[in-house]
Amino acid sequence: MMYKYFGFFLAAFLVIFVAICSWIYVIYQQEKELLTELKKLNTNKSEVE
Amino acid sequence: MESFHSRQSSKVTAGILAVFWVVVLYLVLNETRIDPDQQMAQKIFYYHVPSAWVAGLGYLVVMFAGVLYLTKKDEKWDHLGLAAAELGTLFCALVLITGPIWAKPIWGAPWSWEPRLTTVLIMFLIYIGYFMVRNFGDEGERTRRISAVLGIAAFFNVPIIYVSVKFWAADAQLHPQPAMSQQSPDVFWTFMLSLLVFTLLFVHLLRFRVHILKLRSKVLGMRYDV
Amino acid sequence: MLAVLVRKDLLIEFRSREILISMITFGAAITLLYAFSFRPSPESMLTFAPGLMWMVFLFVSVLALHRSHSLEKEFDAFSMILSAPVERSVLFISKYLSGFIFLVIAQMVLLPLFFLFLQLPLPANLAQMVAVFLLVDLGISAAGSLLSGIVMRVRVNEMLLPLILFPMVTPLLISAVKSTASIMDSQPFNQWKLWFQLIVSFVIVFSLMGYLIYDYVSEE
Repeated sequence: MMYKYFGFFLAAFLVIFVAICSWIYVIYQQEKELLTELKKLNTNKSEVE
Repeated sequence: MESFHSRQSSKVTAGILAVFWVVVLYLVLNETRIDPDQQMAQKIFYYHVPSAWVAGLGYLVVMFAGVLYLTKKDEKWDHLGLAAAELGTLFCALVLITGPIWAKPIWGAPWSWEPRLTTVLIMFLIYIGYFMVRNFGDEGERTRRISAVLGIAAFFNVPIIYVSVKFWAADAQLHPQPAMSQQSPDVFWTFMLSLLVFTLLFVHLLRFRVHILKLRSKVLGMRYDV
Repeated sequence: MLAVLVRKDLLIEFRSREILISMITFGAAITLLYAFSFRPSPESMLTFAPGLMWMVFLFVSVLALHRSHSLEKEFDAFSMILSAPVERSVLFISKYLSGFIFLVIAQMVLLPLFFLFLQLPLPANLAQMVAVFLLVDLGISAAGSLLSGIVMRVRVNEMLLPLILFPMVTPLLISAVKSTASIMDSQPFNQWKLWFQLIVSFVIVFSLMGYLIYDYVSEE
């Protein structure tokens, strides 16, 4: 840590790490919403049938 | 349909990825040699270069998915194309951010019209256009078709873009050109491991995203049935 | 069939002349703005002139490309053409050629204006200049026809076309500017051969691509 430019390395690493995690979070949330809606639609369908 | 990560194979892959991500970080911080001039900033390359590799891989997949969609007309190729375009553009953006972060301490200026970085910038802009076309087109088959064509056209332009930019700013040939085979083992193997991690991450996220797009397509279909 | 289609495009244009007039007026306006915005010494003007020149031509070509394709949308003309027994790739070539012709005509008016207003010396080798210009026009028209075919079916397409076209033609633009600069500097062909080769490559790649995949773009 006493080497030069550690801050820059940390910045670059964090940008990549945060970006990837954010992307995973966003699509994970989308999957959750879609699955709940799918479940709802399926129960609606079976009620109608 | 179930959640992508409820599958055993996905859980295992995700676990392996998380572990190896930490391993690479450990190696980068503790085991790799310190460059006398660039010191810690040089280590950005263990992340910057694999990101560029993934971006290129993403756009290659977009091209193939486009061709397959146009010939086979199966929706799953369009899902693959869109997922790959998203990932490719995400990593493109990461290259464009980490590059200047490295350049600021080393060259003094965050940006220079260095050919590889410039080519990545142009590709990024082209793909912003791709997403706008997708957004402003309606949900139908025609939008998917023209997106496929756009993805193909964009990819075949890349070599021409690269050559033209390379000779355009001949003074900006400042990008380090490390010959990987000549690097010491600690650098070489850490780099290779990082490359592997990024590639696996790409494949995993691609499959995850395609699964979600398939799910979305199913839900949209059902929504208007009921 | 191709001749008929091209003739149709040209006839429509020569009756109303709306595309050419808008191209020329817009191009002249930009050139005037350049003349007012920069008053550098003749040597510096010579450095910037090729770049400024090609930017004007790119901007006016967007006008032509957009208008040329949107004309087809009026009265659903496009579906009618599609129902005729004509190959879609031939449609691409007709748009390609008519776009090229419009650009060349506009340049014949705009280029003298450009040299006049910016007080530029004429290049010694006019033949080389004409050759380069014709080739670059082919390149702009090839990429432009393909891309405007793509975005024409999408909302907000006036904005989308330049947004996609400009990044795509950056290699062509770079090569055009470098070639023009070398010609105006009276450099021998060997010095700028690379840029010429790049222009030719671009023209070949996009002409081929357009010919092969326009089919998928124009399906209903």
